[in-house]
Amino acid sequence: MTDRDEQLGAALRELEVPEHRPGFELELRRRLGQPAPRHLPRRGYVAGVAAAAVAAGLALLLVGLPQHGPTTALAARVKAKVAERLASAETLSGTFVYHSAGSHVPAATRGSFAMDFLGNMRVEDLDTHAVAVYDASTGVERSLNTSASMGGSTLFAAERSGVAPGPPDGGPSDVFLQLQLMSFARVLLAQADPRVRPTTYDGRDAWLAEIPVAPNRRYPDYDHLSITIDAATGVAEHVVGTLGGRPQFDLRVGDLAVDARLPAGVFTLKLPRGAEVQHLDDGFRRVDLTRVAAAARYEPLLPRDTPAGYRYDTVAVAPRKGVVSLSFRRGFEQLMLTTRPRGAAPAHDPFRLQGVPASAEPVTLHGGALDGALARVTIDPRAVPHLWAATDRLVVTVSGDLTRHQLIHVAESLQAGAGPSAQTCRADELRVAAQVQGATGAALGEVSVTKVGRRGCDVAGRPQVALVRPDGAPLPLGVVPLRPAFPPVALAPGESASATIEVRNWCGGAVDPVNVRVSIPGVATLSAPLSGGVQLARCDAPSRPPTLGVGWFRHD
Amino acid sequence: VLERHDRPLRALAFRLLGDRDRMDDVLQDAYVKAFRSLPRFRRGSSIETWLYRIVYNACLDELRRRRADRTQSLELVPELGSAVDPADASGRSGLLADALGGLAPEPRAAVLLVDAGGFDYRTAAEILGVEVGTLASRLGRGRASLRRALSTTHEGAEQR
Repeated sequence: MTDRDEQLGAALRELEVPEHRPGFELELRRRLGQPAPRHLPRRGYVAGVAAAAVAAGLALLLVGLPQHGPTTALAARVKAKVAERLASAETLSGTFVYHSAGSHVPAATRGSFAMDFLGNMRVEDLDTHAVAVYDASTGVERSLNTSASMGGSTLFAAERSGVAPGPPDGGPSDVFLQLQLMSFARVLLAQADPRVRPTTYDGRDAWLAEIPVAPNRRYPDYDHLSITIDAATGVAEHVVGTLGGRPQFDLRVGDLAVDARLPAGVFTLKLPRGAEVQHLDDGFRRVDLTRVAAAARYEPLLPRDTPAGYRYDTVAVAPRKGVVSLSFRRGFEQLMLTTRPRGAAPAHDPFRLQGVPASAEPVTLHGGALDGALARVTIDPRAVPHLWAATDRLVVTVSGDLTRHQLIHVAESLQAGAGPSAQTCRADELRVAAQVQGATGAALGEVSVTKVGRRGCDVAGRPQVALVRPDGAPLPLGVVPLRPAFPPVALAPGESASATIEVRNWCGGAVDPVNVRVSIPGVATLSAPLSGGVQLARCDAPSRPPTLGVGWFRHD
Repeated sequence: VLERHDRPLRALAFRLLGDRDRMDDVLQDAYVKAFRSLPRFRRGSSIETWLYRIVYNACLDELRRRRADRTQSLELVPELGSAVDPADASGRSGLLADALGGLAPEPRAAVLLVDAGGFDYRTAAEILGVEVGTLASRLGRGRASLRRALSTTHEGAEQR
């Protein structure tokens, strides 16, 4: 028996506890030889909040619409809805209350969260107003936190730049959190027949999903999830994680909005002047695809094919380590491809620091730049699904919300550089169309190609485009290459890709009709009438030549 | 794991050392040590207990070093009131903090672990590396001093 002085204990717990000095976490990580932190220093609390928020988001995404009918059919519909919602949602926002049983003094956190399909994220503590924001386009995380122990007005600000777009190189905080988030989804999706039963919540009809989970092997966190779903709205309002029957966390979500228009500037955080700012740099730089080889000092590998719906997002290079990190997105899902020089030491799984010692299946790859390489595939509910393989020069990872088959397919489609492949489309396999509209002084539009015929093929790079009169004489336009570059596009029958075109400073009056002639790197040259007209471009300076900007092909 | 336990470990280290910088220095060393000895961590035992034990021992080492450096008694650790929020130094919390600072580290740790931290005697004894009987004895000493401080505060409040 343990005799405890509760009154004394309560008084002792009220005593202030100072926070760590600025830089504590960074110093610790340096001493541990760890990569840059997954979340900003001084925002462990906020990160916890973010975890809760994202977990909440997933719980909501898990659910979809109200379901009726037998449990098995219900479970199947829920699973289908999970996949659909994750792939199609554009924004997610709401509030939450999170209780953790992790400390001796249980504390509740109230917060709000917002995130979008571009990877941007904001999490705010509604009590302390601590806030963390991640700007995915720049790879910069910023946070602002007040110190409870050092006075309410003292601000601690941090800025972490050069963040990798995703794992295994740290990535923004939300990637780590999405790992937890996605683990919920994977757990549900992995269940052949998840237990779902009717219940009531807050006096309303609800569904309760009971999901057993394999706990983290080294640090057991929870082994069971109970997700309560409001039957009327289809929203999961309550998630409880337990370990051995003991509650580990309790999450209640409110004010959830899927695909709501988020306030302008929600992903922007201006640090106050005069605030003490701690700067960290993870070393990754967003670059144009055409600059990757120069920055990394080797030709990057690019996937010729990605699962349906995934679109190229960004590429970043860590020049010092030679790591290239490519991101593709589909709704809230992400596909990551990374390459890094293979050192003298035996190659290993770059994901191993994730701390989830899952088993890996050996698979020999067939085709592409990794043809014949032995890859290892890890599909485990507690890890990001991933594949890694080593060539004589590089260690390659493919990871994300993909099935085993998709991981292998992407890996087998890798090719060096963004140039044409053996599967480049022929002229007779494509139908071309072009149109422009007037926009802020330019005639802005696109050239699009649509795949016809039975087999799939690739278009890649930036097409050569000329605007020509009916007699075939080209208009005197100086061609300007547009950025950003995009990876090759694999077109299935019926699919299309397009490249931006823009005419500026046209002072030649109306020309009608105008045809567009498109030469695709490889073999195809096509032509089609240009819908719209070059005269839609404003004449800014008659003494200077008109220009035609041409972008890279990207998947429509 | 560290994130989950960092706050209570900060509380323990700060109350034992009485200084934020020393707290951070000791926790740095302790966390590094914990991380590096993870492979030797016995499965089945509590990682929390193990972490607390590392931090507690690191605090004791620091106090010993300081005593050797300054020929200072263990009982004469710095006034805690000077290290906390000035607003805290007056009133109940300030008196309690001062009283806690006046205790030797061993009974102080016992009270912090059992009464503030909620550990049972067996676990607290394991953390401190002593028998349960020794823990109970330290707890008795510590509580007696602190209760006096609390009752003084109450009396003071009533007199106003």
